[in-house]
Amino acid sequence: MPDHAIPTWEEVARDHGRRIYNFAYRLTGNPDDASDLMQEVLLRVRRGLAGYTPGSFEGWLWRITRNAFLDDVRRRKRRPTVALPEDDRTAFGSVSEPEDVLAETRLPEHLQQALLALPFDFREAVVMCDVVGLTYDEIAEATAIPVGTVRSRIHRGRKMLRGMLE
Amino acid sequence: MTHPIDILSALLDDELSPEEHSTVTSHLEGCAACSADLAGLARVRSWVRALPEQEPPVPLVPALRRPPRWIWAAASAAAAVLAIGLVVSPARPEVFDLDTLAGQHTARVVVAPGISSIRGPVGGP
Ligand SMILES: [Zn+2]
Repeated sequence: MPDHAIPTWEEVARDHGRRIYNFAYRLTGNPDDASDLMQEVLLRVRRGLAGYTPGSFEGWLWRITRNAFLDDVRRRKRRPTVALPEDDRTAFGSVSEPEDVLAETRLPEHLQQALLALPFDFREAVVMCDVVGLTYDEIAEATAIPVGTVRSRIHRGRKMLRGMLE
Repeated sequence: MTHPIDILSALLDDELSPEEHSTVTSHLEGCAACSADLAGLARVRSWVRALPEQEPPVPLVPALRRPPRWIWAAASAAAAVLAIGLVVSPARPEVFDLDTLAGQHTARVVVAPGISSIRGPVGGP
């Protein structure tokens, strides 16, 4: 969708509902939570479209999605995994791996469990990048953090996943 | 030379500046350790990207249309039935109405032709 166009709510639901659902599904690992979140996001989008000024639509949409998710987590009094401080780089240093795992794939269930074991900030960054398909700039806008932090979170999230899965 | 391990993921995502990109790629040509790191990160990235897409259980587009009035009557009847303790078989959701969700937030109205049920607290208009 071109950034200058204001989409209708129907277009947002049709074009992005599935991505919103998959974002929530991979963050929670739970289809019911994901479905509730998708509906809540679409409600907020409908309320928010009147005040939407053309700009980065992806950043706008995913900021709404993320805020809805965090509000939902708070409402359920269920916290996302506690985030590690950004400078805690010692626990997940690079590890050289045997080459015989090169071509293996991982079962989706194992990968989902590993995602859920990530600290929330890293899980969110990896899911936004690799499941939703956002650019680093779009993730930075959606999460209101500097793009350098986005880069660091994605990288460290992948390193942790690798440590769990290989 | 220091190993540019912290920007290998950004290399995979094509998110490096041209200067960083040329620095990293020339380093990789002579560094087996960083090349192995890069390969490991690329595997993880491809696994996550290959996760099967999940189908939303609630259809999106039917929710756009406000249901005809008879459905509201059916929904009210279903609420009355629930209030006196009879259970109405749930149907596979065909419509979730956004106006209702917007107004009552905790209500979810599920309506199929001939069968109606309501889950969750429903406020009066
Ligand atoms: Zn190196």
